[in-house]
Amino acid sequence: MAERSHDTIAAILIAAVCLAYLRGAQGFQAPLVADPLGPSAFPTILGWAGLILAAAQIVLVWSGRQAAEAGSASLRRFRTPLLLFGLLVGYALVLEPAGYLPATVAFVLISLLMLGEPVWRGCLVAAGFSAGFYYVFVKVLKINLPIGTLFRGW
Amino acid sequence: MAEVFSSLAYGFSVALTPANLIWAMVGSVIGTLIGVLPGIGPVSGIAILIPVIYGMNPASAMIMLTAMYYGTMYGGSTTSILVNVPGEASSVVTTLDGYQMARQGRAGAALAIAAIGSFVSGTLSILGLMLFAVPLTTLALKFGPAEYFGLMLLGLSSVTSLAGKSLVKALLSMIFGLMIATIGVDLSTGIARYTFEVPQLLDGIGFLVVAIGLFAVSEVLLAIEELGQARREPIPLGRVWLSWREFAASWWAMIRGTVIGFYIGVLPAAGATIASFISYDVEKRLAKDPSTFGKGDIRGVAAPESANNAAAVGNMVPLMTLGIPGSSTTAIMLGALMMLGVQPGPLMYQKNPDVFWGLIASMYIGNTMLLILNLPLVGLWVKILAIPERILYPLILAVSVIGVYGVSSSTTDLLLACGFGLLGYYMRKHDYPLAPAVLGVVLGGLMEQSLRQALVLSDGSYWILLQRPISLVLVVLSVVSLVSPYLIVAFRKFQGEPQF
Repeated sequence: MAERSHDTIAAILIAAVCLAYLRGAQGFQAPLVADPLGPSAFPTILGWAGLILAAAQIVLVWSGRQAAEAGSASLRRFRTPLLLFGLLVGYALVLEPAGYLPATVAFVLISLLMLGEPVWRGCLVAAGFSAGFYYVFVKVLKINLPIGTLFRGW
Repeated sequence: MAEVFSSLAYGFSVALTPANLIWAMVGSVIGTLIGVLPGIGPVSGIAILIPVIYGMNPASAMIMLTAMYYGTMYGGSTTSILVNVPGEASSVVTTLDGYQMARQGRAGAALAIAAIGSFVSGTLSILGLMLFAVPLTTLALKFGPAEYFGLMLLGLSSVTSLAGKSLVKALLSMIFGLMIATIGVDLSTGIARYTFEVPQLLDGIGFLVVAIGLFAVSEVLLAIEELGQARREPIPLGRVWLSWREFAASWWAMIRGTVIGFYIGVLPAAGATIASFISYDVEKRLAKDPSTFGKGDIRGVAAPESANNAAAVGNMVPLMTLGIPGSSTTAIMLGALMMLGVQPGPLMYQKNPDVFWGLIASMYIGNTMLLILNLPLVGLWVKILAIPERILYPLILAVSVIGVYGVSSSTTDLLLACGFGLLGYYMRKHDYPLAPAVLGVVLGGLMEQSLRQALVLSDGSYWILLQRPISLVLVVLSVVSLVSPYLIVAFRKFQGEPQF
């Protein structure tokens, strides 16, 4: 029953996104007559297709023709992935201001500690990886990495 | 035929330059490493390494990516044999007899036949690729916008039809990808669509951002959930070689696996996994004593390993000749090529013969390289298997973030990749397949353009899609490919056969 509601809620959310998407498509006015389809037709087709499929999902779930999902919904199970995801977002946000080296060393080290690695190995891996990767990207592949603005002038 | 061989000679002149040889070697080694490493699949592995090829010339980039693709296949079989953990879906069958062989102290023979089978099938099926490529490309050169639209519809529908457990969820995933592709400035009219006044969205959402987020980030998040479960220790390796008797016993299995694998690989979406299962089943049915299968029969390794490698080459046929990928990995490769300004398909044959023929020639080189490198290096791969997964996950995430930043230098793109990662995590957990979404992102823009150009020609009539014969065939095939899994089930029910 819980799985049914889960798929139904997902389908309702998808339908809501499709409705918003369709509403957005109505605002695209075509300035050219040479293009019979215009900028809104393709998004409109997609929006309607999404709506129909979301409705089909609800019908299939409630008619019992779509298998209910198995799997535990224990919150503890999601804790580590979600914490790591939060850390990843933090890393994405500080990469540019803090610069590649400090941000990467900190991200890798904190993640490793979070996953249960001992401090000494965490430090070793974080420093070794960050330095090695810097060398490959910047020196070998000539791809620029952020120097950082926070510590500039120190 | 003479033209094919002279073009192939040109391809070898491209692929055999020292730089390209090095790229092929680097690709083979990295690919095998990805295949061997726990916690990262071939699609994610290739996706996070796309930034490495950014800025390279397209021929070298493609040579490296293809070598990587082959390498991941080989690496996947190594883990199947030694730890009973398939690196990817197409190596699942290899575990049945490969792991049993390893338990009987014949790990070396299993690895050797996997490498030799991959080499033989790879080399033979490249001949098939060459034979298919030229006529198909010549046909495709006659395509107009309506046919292109039909072709992309076929690519999307065939990948969608076989992805995941639910067709509705697969279709929703495809629609999601196509919707993402509409974000940004519309090229025909200059109108900004779904950009929410964020300037960074005017160019649209890059394929790399979506691919890395949906595949790599989500794969790590999901794998972390399983962290802490018991690890399986690799079985001791022994001598990596096989006896003449074992080789002779597997020879026909390799040939049959190659033929089955190649033809299945050419069909869009029916990729390496199906090929490996079918070839295993065929060998079992042909065997005098089928009871030896599942208990360490060398043919049970030779056939699926040959089939999955042949299917990988077969998969390149629709990608290179028509520009439609037949699997997640080739979808990623298509996106990578488009990022480098090369449009795979018939025009690639005309405009970028160096990429087209260089790639075919590099397949021969990549296969040889894998055989030469992997047998001696198998001891190293076994050591890599021992790296704790929890060390790898943060590194994979860091490589993903740096890769996206290295290409776009944009924090917005990083945050988008994180968002796609979380979405991909949800999608994986609830059986929304990822491949149709990524393919939608890759093909969406071109699909819309083709439709609009076709409708300009027909003064706005959608009938043009059904009035032109090739386009009609492609649209019909798209519908058939979508409903075919249901037709097969219905047919089996009708015949009273048990279902898988």
